[in-house]
Amino acid sequence: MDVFAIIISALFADNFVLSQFLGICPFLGVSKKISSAAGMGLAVTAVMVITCAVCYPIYTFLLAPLGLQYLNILVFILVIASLVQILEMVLRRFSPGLYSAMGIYLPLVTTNCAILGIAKIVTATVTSAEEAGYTLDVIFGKLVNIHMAMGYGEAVLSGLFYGLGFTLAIVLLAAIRIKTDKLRVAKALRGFPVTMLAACFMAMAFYVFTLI
Amino acid sequence: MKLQRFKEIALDGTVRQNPTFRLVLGTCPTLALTTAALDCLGMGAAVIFVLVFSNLIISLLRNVIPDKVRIPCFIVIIATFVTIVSMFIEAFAYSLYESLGMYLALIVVNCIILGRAESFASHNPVLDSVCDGLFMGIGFTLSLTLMGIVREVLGKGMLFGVTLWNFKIEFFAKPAGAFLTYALFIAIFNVCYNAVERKLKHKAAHKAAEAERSAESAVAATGEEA
Amino acid sequence: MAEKTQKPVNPALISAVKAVAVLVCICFVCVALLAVCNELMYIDDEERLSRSLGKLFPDGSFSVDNSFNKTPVSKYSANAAYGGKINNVYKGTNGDYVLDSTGGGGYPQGGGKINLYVAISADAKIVSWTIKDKMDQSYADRVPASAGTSWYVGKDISNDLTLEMTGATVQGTATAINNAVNMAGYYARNALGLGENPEAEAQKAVGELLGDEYASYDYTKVNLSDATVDGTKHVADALSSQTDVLSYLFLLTGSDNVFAYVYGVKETLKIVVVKEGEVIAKSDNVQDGDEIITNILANTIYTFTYGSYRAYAVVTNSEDNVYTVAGLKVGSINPTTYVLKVTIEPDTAPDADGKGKVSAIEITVDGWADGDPTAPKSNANKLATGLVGATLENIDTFYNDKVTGKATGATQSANLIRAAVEAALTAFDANTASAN
Repeated sequence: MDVFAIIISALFADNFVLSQFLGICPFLGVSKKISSAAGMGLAVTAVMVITCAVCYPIYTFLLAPLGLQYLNILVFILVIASLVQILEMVLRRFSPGLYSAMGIYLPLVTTNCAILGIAKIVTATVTSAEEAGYTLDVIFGKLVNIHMAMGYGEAVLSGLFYGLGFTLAIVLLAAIRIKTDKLRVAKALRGFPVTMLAACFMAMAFYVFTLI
Repeated sequence: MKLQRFKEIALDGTVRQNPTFRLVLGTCPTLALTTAALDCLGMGAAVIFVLVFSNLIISLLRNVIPDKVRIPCFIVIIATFVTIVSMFIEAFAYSLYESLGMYLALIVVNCIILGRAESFASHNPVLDSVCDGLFMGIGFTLSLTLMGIVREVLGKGMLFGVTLWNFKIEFFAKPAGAFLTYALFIAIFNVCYNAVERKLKHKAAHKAAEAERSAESAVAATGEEA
Repeated sequence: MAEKTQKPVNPALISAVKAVAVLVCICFVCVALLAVCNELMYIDDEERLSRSLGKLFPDGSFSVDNSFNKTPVSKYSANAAYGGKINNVYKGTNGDYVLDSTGGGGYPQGGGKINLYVAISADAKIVSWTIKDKMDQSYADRVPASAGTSWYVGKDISNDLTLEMTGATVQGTATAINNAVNMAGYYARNALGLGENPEAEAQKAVGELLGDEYASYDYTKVNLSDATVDGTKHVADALSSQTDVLSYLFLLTGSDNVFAYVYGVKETLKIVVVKEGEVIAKSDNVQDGDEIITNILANTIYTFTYGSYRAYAVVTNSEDNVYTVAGLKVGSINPTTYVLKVTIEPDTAPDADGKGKVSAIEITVDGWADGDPTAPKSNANKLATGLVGATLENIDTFYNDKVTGKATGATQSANLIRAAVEAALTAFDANTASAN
């Protein structure tokens, strides 16, 4: 029953992308192909589970007892940034298969949009979001809520399913974009606007789940 | 700082590189908080504070921070100011704190801030960086509030928390409405921007041609004189 | 030696050390800055309380009356029925109360709690409520933001209020909120004297009827309302007559156990007190031959003692050797009322004397309370098959052989099921004896 609630909530009702608007950058940027969307989704899921597993004890057993809750933003963000680096190194060294499937998306988890922003100014288009994403917000958003969860197991489990919820949304959007990118639309709507319209319809569909 | 440079920065931040509509950065609060225009102003103020101070400190330290660890350093500095601003809002504007919720802490991962730190403050003088932070923040706040007004009026029949009428299209207050409004805003902004850009270019070309002509005539004149 | 010390240090190492040093310095300064800011802008408990009060009473009509002792009366400050407790009670200068109340029954697995401030007006209505601490309700955000000013508002706290919202992702939290609000209501009724308290009045009437002899007895309410014995009829209906509705059934425990049946409401209470199948006291408006007395005597409440547990069961129906039996929830034990259909046939063993033997057990209402006990539900329900074949004589061995161990961690549920089965057997034996 509780696990069911976590799953429904994480995958659909509270879907990070479509109802909490976290991880929009990669959602719009890395969703041109289903394979890259899936790789990105899995990378995010992996980082989310690991950071939940690490940050939960840091918060509960270190920060909270010492009355240092106000350092949580600082600590969480540093932990995520370093964990992503470590995870990338470990994957590259020990599991080339997994690395090529999702490891190459790991830098994108922390690559900042600055690069994206500059690239766009230079090319003067708003559609060149192909190469960069910024998903720290998905993972960070999960961590900000984590200390309210009761048990370690629940925290990690919800991390897993929120990650899968993100994967679901981004893969679905990629599938839709295969069609929409071929459409002839008004010039002003090309790129982000038409992708966002697709997201709009997805959000409508997912909204139904909040009524459960 | 020269006036021309100041104008450049101001125009870049608010229009040419408008973070919300041109760069499509910081999308998370843009989509999440635009159901109420007042929250948008509060969020904007918080972002301006963080942007200005993080740009200030990073610009001051730009020669001290080694390139290898610049991103972690920026993150620490940004996180500090985000924590301060969220403490401040919790202490003195509690209702705003409640309505911003988790999105306040999420300023730390807002692309705009790290983006400005990385692309501007880390290699520009202090005053320029502060101005850049200020105008990027203002650009963000204006776009957010504009979307907030539209969504609040359509979705709730209210404006800045004051009920205008009973008519409302709840769709606009829901997540799907956020995506739709944002998409339309980008499209409209792009159309206007491109139109103005074209006109300016045309004007500039015209001016240049005129200048050339006058230069030519001047040359001709001097030639005649000579 | 000298050569070694003069060997130039790797420049990459120097830059790495420098990088780390700068990062550490920045971290250090930032943490120090945050510590100072935290000191300056720390929000103490008093400030938090006044913020919550501002939310409960947006018009600012509530200001804390400091002469009122905020520590709750210990007798009513906790109640296992709501899994809750009252932490603090604030009285306002306007006569309203704000209760700092914790309720249980939430996520995860019915064991989670939530902490609320509940405002109750002087005329016993819920004014508003707000979450003080989400505690372990990580899905508290699924509760609508407006719930604090819409759920329960204006309702009278004289009776327990019912759940305001159901749904897969919200029910746990909504249950915890419901329990916290009811805990506040319970305290307000009993300790603050707000609202009507028919239960306390009924207890008082029973006490007056019984007099001094039973003055020291403890009253426990038998839960009558949450199980139906045949789809529509509640346990209470089975014990009621056409004209008189059973409103309360109290178990009085002292040097011995008696059951007090209270019928009707308010001024017209009818009370019958029964001890071991005999009426020992009744109110003046009840006559000997009345339907309610025959009803009570026909539906004996059986009491069984298993170790330190005491379990109660009542046979509400018997047709063709199928006995509908309710194992009653009494007081604050966790499983609610179990209803079983027990089929009994005469034991064919030579020396059995035609006594009853269980041939089938079907659980029709499952009183299992999720989460507490922690054992899986199937453990208790194994009893349903485990006790088939038992007779009154050997049920002890049956229970020990087939059930103990299997029902680990579910003893209370097991006891209710066993009591129900035993009650059915007892009733069957009594029937055969009277038929003979």
